[in-house]
Amino acid sequence: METSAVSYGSKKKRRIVDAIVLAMLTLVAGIMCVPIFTMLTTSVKTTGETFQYPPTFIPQTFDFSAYVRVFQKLDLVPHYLNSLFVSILIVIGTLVSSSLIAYGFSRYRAPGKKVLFMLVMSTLMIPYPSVMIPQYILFNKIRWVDTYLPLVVPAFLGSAYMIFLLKQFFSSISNELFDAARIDGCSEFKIFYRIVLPLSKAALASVAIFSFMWSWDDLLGPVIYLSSPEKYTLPVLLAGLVSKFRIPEWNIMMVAALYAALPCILLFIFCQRYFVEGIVTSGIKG
Amino acid sequence: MRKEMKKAMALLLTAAIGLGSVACGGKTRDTASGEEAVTITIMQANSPDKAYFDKMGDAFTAKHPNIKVEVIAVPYDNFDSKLQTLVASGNAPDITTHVQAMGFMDFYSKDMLLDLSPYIAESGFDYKEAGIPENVMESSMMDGKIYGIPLNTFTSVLVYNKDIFDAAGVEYPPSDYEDKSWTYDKMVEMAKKLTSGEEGNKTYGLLWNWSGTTPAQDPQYFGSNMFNMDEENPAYAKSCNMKTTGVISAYQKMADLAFVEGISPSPAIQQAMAGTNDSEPFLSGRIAMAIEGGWILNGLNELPFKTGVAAIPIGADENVRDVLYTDPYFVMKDSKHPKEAFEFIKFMAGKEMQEQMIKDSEGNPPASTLALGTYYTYFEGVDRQDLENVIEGGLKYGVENIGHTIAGAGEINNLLINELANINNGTAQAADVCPEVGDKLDAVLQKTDPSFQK
Repeated sequence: METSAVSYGSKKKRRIVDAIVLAMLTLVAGIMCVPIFTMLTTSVKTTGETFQYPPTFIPQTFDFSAYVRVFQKLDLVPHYLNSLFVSILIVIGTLVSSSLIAYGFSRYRAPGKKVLFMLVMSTLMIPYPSVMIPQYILFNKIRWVDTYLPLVVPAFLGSAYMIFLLKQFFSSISNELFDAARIDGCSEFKIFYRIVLPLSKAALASVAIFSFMWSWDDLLGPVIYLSSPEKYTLPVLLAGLVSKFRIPEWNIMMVAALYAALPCILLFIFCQRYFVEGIVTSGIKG
Repeated sequence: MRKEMKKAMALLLTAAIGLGSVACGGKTRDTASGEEAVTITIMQANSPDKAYFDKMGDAFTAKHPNIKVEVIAVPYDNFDSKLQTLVASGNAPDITTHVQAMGFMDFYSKDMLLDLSPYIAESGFDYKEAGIPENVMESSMMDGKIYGIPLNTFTSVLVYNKDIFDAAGVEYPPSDYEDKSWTYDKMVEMAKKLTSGEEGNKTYGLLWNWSGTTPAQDPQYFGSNMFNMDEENPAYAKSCNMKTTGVISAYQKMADLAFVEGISPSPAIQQAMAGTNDSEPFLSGRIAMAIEGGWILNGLNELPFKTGVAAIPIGADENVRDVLYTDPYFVMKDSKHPKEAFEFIKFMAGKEMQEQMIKDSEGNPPASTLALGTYYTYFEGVDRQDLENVIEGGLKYGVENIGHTIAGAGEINNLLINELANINNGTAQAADVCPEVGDKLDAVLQKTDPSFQK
């Protein structure tokens, strides 16, 4: 009797804790949603209403004209395609290079491997502005300036953060799997391609999401390397909407921001499936 | 699996070929006219108010078929980074202007600019004939040499909400700069009558944003100069006057507008009204009078309330009434086509193009007084005579924005904005804050001025 009372008590206690956690998470999720909510409501406000103080949370009148006007005001589609082109190539480059490098670091022994890995990791500490000018001079010398090459090619040479992320994941894969594959006569590359990669979908999805989002949002890189307006990526185009010397049309800016956020949201929704799948398939401890 | 790999390889190769073809797409030179065609580059802000440069370039090329103008449009916040990168790599644009924090003195002190005097002499260009006022021209001159030709001059203006004035039964402020009865104290009194309502739903009498966002300039209106300039090298200041009573009382006076007089919104309320743009609080319709840069005129037509423009009242010095924001266009020292670049600037400074610029830019002010007639009639909602009074008075009694007249203005500005925040937020008194800030500012000035490093 006493035991069941204790378990009943602890159940009740757990329920209360769960409720508190749920309430806190809902609150945090709510706070996180405020910018998206503001973006949506501002996009359907009239220009006059966007300046109103105190601001209105629910628009007084719903005006969807900004969704069309944005296309008259901005050459959105070609720049969208530019951004997609650059980001997709960066994702491919990062996935291919970082997974290969990380695999090497996690599965093979070599003299000086630790030092080399430390060197790779130490590049994370170099702030971009300090390498910006030397890098520009280098790319300028090989005549890559005003092309997408300086943005895309470095991705094919590996990204320290992604290498770290993938190395950690690859190291967690059980050694028995590799032994079994080798006994079955699997080549080293085939082990990587047929066994490691399918098992690492979760980590690869994270890498894809991170590298896509970083390249999709990147403003400084395209600003520095691109000079022809027709080559500009979306963030450069959108940054041009803000001027200290003009009254901004917030509704148009919010619509543009919504369109710009769309691929990231879609990618996340799409890759979420792989996150779950990744967790299931990597449960091979059994 | 092989098929899959082949597919992946094919995809990568296609992408590489695509990229390569983009890389190979360089400039072609048109030599149809017989003379060698030249392409000059102008680096400009990628913002709606500067979008007219493409048209200017086309108009110029129509007259000079062998000179093509290429516009490098860069977002406002990244302008200085890109410019410095281009200059450091020997890829400087032929023409630029000051856009972000770096101003004329930064360019000059870093030896980035070409002395235009010989080109001016050779071409017979006379800035006085072109209608550019002497004090505006001085903003791009050093030691008698001319480094830039101004193409835009914004004055600051006092804009007011007529609806609030009408509701309070208060007479509109005067637009005539020669009206000596229009003083700072009178404006504050007027603002008190216009302030009404409770916090959260309050109408404020005044938004005092005299210097734009250049706090080092603010004390000038109240009779004190912030800097003791280096006489040997006037691009730099030797020390600041932050600890003097004049400067301290100026900052206190401005903070008191919100926290003692209660007639101005606090920075937090301004932020709530404005979002990130400095000129916006007035647009909320909750501010009766606002002192702002002239660019605010551009949006007045679209507001749901009636507006007017007036003179900025007389402060401590009757000759320092407003701030001028002049945009001179410079030819960079590394320009490969300085003659053609100067020719383009000269072209843009002409009356015809200055008038065209007002229309194409949707209301940027010209630097040439010859084009002001077009400017006065551009803003439908603003009384023409009032605007003429305000601009003419503003040009006569204006002082150039300090950001353009001292090297290292960006760093100075950031320091002051951060350090003076407690005064502006009403959490500290200027007398307590300013002495310490003075030491920090002096340290920045000494770090910037090369004469201290000798």
